Amino acid sequence: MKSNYWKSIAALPLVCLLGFLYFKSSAVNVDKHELVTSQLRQLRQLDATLNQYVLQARDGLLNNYDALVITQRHISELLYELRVQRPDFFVVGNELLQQKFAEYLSARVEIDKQLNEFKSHNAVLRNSVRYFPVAVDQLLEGRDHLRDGDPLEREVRDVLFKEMMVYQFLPSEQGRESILISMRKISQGKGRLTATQQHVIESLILHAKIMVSYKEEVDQTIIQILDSPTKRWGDEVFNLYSEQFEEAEHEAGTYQFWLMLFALCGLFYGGFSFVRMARARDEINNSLTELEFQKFALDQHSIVSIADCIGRITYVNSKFIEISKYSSAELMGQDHRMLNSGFHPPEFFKGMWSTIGHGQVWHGEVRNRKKDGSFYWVDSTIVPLLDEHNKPQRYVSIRTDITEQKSLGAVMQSQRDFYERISETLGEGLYVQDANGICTYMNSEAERLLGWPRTEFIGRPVHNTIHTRTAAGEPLAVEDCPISQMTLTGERVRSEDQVFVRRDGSDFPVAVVSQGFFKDDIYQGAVVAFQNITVRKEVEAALRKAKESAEEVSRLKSDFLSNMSHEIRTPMNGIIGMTDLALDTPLNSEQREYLGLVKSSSNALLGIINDILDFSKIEAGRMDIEVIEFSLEQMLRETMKTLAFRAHQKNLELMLHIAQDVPERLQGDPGRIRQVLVNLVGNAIKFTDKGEIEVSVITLAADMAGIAELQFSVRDTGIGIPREKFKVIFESFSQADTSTTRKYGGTGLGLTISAQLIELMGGRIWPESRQGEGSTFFFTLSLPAISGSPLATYQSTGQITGMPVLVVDDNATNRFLLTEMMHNWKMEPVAVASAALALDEMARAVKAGKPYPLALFDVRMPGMDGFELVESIRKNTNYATATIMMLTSDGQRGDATRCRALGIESYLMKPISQSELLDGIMTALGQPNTPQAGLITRHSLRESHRKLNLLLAEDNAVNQTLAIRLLEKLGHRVSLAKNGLEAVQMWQANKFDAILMDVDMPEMNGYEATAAIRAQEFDNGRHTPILAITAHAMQGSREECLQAGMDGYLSKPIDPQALWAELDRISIGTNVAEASNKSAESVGVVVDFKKARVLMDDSRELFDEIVKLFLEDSPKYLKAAKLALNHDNADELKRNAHTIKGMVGVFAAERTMQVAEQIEVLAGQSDCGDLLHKLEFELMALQDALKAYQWS
Amino acid sequence: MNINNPRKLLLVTLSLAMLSGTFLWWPSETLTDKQLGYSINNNALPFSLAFTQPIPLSLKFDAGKVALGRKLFHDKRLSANNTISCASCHVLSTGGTDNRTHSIGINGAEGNINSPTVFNSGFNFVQFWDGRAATLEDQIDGPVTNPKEMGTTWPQVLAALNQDATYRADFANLYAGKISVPNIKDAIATFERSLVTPNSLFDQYLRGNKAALSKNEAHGYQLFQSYGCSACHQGVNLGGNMYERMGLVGDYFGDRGNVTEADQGRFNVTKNENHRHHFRVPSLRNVGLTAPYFHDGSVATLSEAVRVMVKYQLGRTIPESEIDDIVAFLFTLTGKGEFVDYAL
Repeated sequence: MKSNYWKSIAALPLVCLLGFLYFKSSAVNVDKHELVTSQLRQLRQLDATLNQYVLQARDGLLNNYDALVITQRHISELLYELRVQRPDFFVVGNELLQQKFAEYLSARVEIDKQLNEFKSHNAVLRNSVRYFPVAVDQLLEGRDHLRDGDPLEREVRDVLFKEMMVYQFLPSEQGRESILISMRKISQGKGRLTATQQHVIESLILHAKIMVSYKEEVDQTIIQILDSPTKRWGDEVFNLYSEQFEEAEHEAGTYQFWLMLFALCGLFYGGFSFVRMARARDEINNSLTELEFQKFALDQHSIVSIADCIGRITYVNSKFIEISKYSSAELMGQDHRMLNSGFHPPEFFKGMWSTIGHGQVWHGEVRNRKKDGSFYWVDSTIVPLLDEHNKPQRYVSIRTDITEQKSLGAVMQSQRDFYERISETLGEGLYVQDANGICTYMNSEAERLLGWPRTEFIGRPVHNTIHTRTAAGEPLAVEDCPISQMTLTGERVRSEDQVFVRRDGSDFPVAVVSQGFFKDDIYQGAVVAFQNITVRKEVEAALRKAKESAEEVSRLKSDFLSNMSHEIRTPMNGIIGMTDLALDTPLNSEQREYLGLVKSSSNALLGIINDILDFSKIEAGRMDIEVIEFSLEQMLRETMKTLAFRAHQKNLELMLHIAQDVPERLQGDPGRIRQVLVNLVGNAIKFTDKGEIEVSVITLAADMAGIAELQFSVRDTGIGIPREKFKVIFESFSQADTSTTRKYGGTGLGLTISAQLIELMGGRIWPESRQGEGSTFFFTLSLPAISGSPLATYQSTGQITGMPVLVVDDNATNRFLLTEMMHNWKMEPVAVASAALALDEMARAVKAGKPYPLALFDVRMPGMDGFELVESIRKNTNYATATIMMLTSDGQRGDATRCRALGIESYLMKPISQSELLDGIMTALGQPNTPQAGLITRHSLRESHRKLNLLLAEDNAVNQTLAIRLLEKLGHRVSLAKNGLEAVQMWQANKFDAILMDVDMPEMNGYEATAAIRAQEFDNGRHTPILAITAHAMQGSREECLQAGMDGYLSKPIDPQALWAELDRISIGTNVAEASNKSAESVGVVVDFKKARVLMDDSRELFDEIVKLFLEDSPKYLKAAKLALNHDNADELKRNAHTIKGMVGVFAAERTMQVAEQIEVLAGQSDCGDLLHKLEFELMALQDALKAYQWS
Repeated sequence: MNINNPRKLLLVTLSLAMLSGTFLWWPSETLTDKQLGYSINNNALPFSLAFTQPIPLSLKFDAGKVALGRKLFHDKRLSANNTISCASCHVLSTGGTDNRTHSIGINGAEGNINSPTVFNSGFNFVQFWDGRAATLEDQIDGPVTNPKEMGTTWPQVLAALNQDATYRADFANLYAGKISVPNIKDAIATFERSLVTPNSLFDQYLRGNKAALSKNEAHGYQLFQSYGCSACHQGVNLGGNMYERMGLVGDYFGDRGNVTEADQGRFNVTKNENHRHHFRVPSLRNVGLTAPYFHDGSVATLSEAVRVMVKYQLGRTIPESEIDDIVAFLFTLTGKGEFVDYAL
């Protein structure tokens, strides 16, 4: 290490030397030198230029001093550059250079001073020189000039003027003298002249003086300027600088050479070192990679940690973390004691520390504790790393997880114990034999049963010890032993007819279960469990005997009953037959009556006997089910016919419904099916006093093999069966209620027999019922179908076959029944659930060219009811040919009248029977179709009710027009109030049936107006219905209106449907479904023309009028809103936004409405400037859209 | 780099040596025209032998510095109590002067000399009436620190301007550094140099449009030359490039009386007896806008000023009609250019 320091210190002078060389060699800058040289050269040039300008100015060639000033400025800037911006040029230079430069600078300052003198003096001189000839002229030739020949004239012209001119170009002492003399002469002679002349002469003399004195000064100044030492000093500075530079350059060259030499050496050495270092680095990298690899391998296998000399952990590998469950951070700096499981005594660790403390390697197995408290075993090797004093510096611990090995032995032992316990508590004898049939294990129960102690039995061949003979006592060789042989195949052997031999030689029957076990497909032995079944065998034998005798008794009894029944039937036939014959003979009334009673009693008795017979047959197992081909439909119809009489006697409708997909021909026992149906229908007739009984068959499922699962049902509208009796009724000799027996009679065997027959045919029977409302019995049968052809036509329906018919009913059951019936008649019904859908469907049919010739409407439907539907249809001439039938459930009074008014051909009341419906259809179609003259419209219907006198309070012109047009179309008279106040006044003056009140109006709003009206009504006891019209399509508005004393509520845009409904409600006084807010849902359209047209009753005239009004009015309201915003008038803003919302509502302009509504809500709470801007934008878009719209 | 290996250290030093050697071998940079050409003043006037020449129509300045200078020029924070800016006395909209005899500084203090116009001051060879500042930059110290003018100190100004983030940003952008006195001066001087008023009627006349001057004005121009006014009022600025004594041929101060220290002129600077009453010859550019006249602001009208000049400087008499023509000529020296004051 020390040598490294020395080397570093040795390198230091080398660096210093290099630095020194670099500094020295870079001391000369050729570029800078050139710059300075050039500047110095230019300075000299400018000096010359300046002199040139001075001379030019003196001679009047240069008439301004700008050139001088600019040159001076130029020089001073150059000097500034040299002096201030590049001081280094002169710092390095010698004293002489600096001194010369300083002299140069002071010379310059002197020149600048002289130049200023020159400028001012020269200006004065030039002025006088210019003026002098003028003044002479004035004196000699001006208005008041001297007379010709005046001595002064001559003096001025020939002496002063001449001399002066000469002096100006060639100044001399003589010239100056003669001028001064001349001036004196002129001054003396002027006394006799006029004042003006004197004045001119004074001026002349003044300028002459100036010219003389200034000329001298100017010339002197010029000489000083031209003789200035600046040129000399400048040259010297230049030369000195160049000399100095050359010296410096030479010196720098030397240093540069040395620096280059060093640089080359360095380059060479650097390259050499680099190669060496690269090689060394490769070697190190290789070793490191190798080490990394070894470390990785070690980490994969072992749990490694490193601790410092006092046992603090300084490193753990991932395996350590993984097994200990501690994080690296938790372990670092901690003692290994944190892993101490407490399992090892303190001496154990003491020994370990003493070993490693002495620098020796320690091996041992240690149980450690994980973070979660569980333990693990490690095989640990601790290697101390020693320092130069052989003191341990660090300890490296390498461990292997041996938890599994450690725990394996213990686990196996406990498992063995576990199985032993199981086998002991089994209650069965258990032994294990090996591949050679030698016993390897037995439990204590086996010991007990076999009489062999396990110490003796284990090791013996099993078969030859306990299984030497069969139950019959024959000897049994091991080759024939089922236990030994079968287990070889791997099958589980169960046997109850083997006997085991005890040690004392006695044997006992056993139930044996044996299972061979294999390893790698090689038989290893078998486990055999067995029980002593001596007792069980005895019980079984006794039971079998008892059952056989009981069956015999039962069979005998059934045979007897069956025989007895038959024996009774024979005389019964005689009785009935003879009674019939007797009744055909002439009899008196008394006899006839008696015989009639005999016959009916006999028939009843025969029925009972038949039942008993069947019952007995079934009980005796003698009931046979036939399998023959039959026509289900035919069988059913015939059965119905026989029952129809009974039903009609009780005025009950008996209906048969066979689903379309029920196969026509089936295989089965038609007689038995018929028997069941007769029984069920008979019961139904019996227990039903009024209503109907319906027998129906549907297909539940049909499989590929042609087996159809049919469900039959018999529904009545009788007394019903309580749920708790559902089970009982199928039991023998029972009825739902014993008391009913007295009323309805019967054996109570019918259902029992039916149920058993169904069971015999593989079906299922169950009832569904509601007490008092009727019951339905269902049964299912799976019968093979002969052919897949559907139910054949059995009704000649003539003209209605294939006729499309539209069924409209909101009730799904009704729809289903009606369509099923019509299907049966081969009609083509289409059922829909509402009037709206009906209209769509009719439109579709007309479009497809197949209009419905017949339609069947339910009257009572939510939304548009049947009558309204008829009206809509009647309006459209396309539908006029349809024959319409109405169905009503409640038969409201007046419906029939309305039907007639609407030209409805047939009117039926529900529940409707098949025959009634068919009759109805036939009747309706039979009538000649007489379309009504013209359209039957809604208000022509309404006219029959009442025309209303209405007051409309509305401030918005668009809405006014819309509402008035709609109301007048309904036939009402409408008066208009433009605000709440007007409304109240008009209400006071007139009597109205109802008031339509806009909620938001100027002057007085709808709530206030309503309140005023209600207050006055309170006094006079009147009540005028008030209907709120509002654009508040929000929750709660309705409640608000009603609270304010209004009777109804409509939201804008006014929906004609809703308006009608509300008006209807008010005028009739019944509840009509609330008008829906359809408009609230759609979003984001500029304008919805479809909707708008609906809202305006699809009237182009109305549309155009409203558009015109809107285009005129909307800008006013927008302007007013803007004004309100500017004046912070939230209420006014709100009102205008509201009005706009109402206006655009009729066009279903959702976007504009939304913005307007936002303003309405937010006005006064937040800045609506942006929203208003948006509103303006939306309004413009809406206006454009409206203008562009083509009505078609 | 970890240099604890001596070999490595040596290697590094030698590499450095190598690099420096290579560097020396290479020519550092090529010299640009800028370095050799001394084109120090981009806006140098063309050389002319005539007594004057028109103001160049366009001059080039760093627009950013001009803008910053304009801001500073109008910034009252350059005065002790934030009441006076440069523009307070050099009102741009009234010819670059305040049209007062003596300007009013902070706290209503009255100055002792008439404020010269700031327009075209960049063409003047020295600044102030007595030429005590060689450049516009040097000139700025005067009003800023004069207790009768702005009455503040540079540290105060720096502190005030440093409060302003926009100034900090401006100076950082334009001068790549902090707000400093040389930078402030540079900005203001640059702005002032940009305040030139080219294209006066007279300039148009000089450029060859003889119709630019009316007959009287053209006559005035003739008289201006023949009376010798142009001996001093020459050069592009018609003045501003030399000193001259006030009262060359008459005792101006004696006649006027009440001689003040300011009346001593350049003597105050040089203490040279010959320089007593010497003043920088003022420029006649825009003279129609810059009343009152002379260093003492003693004359309100141009005709009176002409009369005084003829009497005391030229030693001549002049008929009134000629004065009128000369004055008419002087009004044609008003240049074009919109100078709008910029309220801070």
